[in-house]
Amino acid sequence: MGRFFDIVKQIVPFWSTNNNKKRSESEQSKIKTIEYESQRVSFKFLIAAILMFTFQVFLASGASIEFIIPDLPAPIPFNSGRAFHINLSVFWPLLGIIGGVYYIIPEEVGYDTNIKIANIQFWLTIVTLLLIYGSLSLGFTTGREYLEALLPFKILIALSLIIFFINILLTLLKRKITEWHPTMIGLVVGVFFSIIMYIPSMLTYKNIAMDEFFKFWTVHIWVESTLELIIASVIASILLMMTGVERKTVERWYYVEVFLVILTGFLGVGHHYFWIGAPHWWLYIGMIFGALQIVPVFFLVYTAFKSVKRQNMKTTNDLTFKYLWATVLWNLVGAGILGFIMTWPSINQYTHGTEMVSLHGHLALFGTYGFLTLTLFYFILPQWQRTKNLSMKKGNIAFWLLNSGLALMGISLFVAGVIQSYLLRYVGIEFTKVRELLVPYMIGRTLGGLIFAGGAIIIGWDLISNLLFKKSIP
Amino acid sequence: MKYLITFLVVVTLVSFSYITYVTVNNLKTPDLNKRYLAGKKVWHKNGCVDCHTIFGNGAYLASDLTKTMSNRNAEWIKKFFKKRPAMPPNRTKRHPGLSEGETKDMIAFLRFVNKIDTNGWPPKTLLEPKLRDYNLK
Repeated sequence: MGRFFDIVKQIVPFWSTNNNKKRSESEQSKIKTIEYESQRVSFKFLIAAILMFTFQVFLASGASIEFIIPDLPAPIPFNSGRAFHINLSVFWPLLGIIGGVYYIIPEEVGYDTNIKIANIQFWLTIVTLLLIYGSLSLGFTTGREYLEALLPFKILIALSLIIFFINILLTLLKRKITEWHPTMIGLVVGVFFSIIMYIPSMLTYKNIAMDEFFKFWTVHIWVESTLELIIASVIASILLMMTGVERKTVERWYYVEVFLVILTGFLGVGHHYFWIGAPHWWLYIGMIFGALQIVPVFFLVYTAFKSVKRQNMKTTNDLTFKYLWATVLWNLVGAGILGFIMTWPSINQYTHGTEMVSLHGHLALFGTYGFLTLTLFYFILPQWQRTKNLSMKKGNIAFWLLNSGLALMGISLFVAGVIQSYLLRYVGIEFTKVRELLVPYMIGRTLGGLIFAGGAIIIGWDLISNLLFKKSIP
Repeated sequence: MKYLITFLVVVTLVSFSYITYVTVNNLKTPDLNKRYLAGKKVWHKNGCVDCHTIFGNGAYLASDLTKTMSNRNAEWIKKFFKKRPAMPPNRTKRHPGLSEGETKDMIAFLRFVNKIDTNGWPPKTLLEPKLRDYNLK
């Protein structure tokens, strides 16, 4: 219990701890530094990710106003903006996670990744993403949710992931340590299956039901299985670096977790196949494995608590821990609990296609992948000469703005989702009439979004001003 | 332990591939036709799914179109795309329109989607659905 209060103290701001001043001197010497040259590649990825994140909040706030003031003139139509928004929301955390992987690999295997290949991959990804965003805002779309980018661009993204995979594999084969760390195996499996699952879903089929079927290989299996394998190993590795716990504490249940993520993630895709024209037995597969998906989430919570409990030294700033706890919390709430509620067909038939899904998407995607990217950002970037003066105070304010904004958005969308499910799907009131009734909650959502945007802008501005105005201090 | 987990992962992946194979060959959709394929292109090109939903998947700004053809007739849809009414709560911003040929293809597409067996979704509602007619007459 005492340990629990220590954790609470870490999270709650301005909670004075007695040994704060004493620690700060000894802490300075323990702050983590870059050990391998190729770890520097991750700076680029994280900076690009955070800049895209900052840009995205403007776009998202603009789009959310459409729900409140329908006739407001907008520079681009709602559907282009929305396509832009959801593509950004997938790719900026992806960039951040790739950056995180480039950071952990050299330390895990004791060998540099190939910097040249990593740089090629970085620029290929950035140029492709800019082309995707440009073409989407101009209205070029393949018209499939989350996969709106034109086929050539999607092929380039797959190519970039393949380059990434080859780079990891080459590094692992040249490793100096004799045994494979389980985390590295999870990572390789995760990246490999991300590529395998992306390829069928980037094609467009003749049958619309087939389109929908393969769409979820990216939309579901990426975020709930393969990327989760990658972030599980990233989190395990940074917990090792941050807390200095013994490796076996973090890795004890790792293989079991890998198996559960693959089992429940792959078969849990069934909860998207309830109503798309797939055979009815998907109802049972989706229900059972979708509900089981909460189990790996508990493993993450368990690992995080265990490592902080057993830590013997701290090698990073408190802010990193805060963001990590936010990742764990929102993953539990948004992905775990909300996902668990909505995966039952008897509930899903009413909530499906309402604001409830929007709520789940926002909380789960930003809550898990977004906060993890911010964790990595505040863990890794202070180790770079040019950004070592990132303001922890601003980061702290942003942390509370992001969390409270997300919570307000979550509550508003939850109420809106319940009302909409009831009136639209249960009672049978016409869609546009229900939409008019939802306006108050949509105002709440936009307010939450604006608070959230405030946090994002603070982080983005802090980064930009560090990069541009503050020359490196020797 | 390691070998057991590897074995279980392989079993999972093999069964996943098998049920994928079975599903792809047993989708509960009607036969494809030319008009439908043209309509599907129109559907994709206009990015309809980023305002509307289909099978409940898409954006949540506009209504679900899975069962449109059970509620509307072809004549009404032709008028709709020609007249382009403002969709409430909008007053001035009009719904995007389609040419006459495109409208016919779109109707074929929506008919195809309507015939797909969606395991009973959307659920039957308490009240009979009362749709607006947007003063198209």
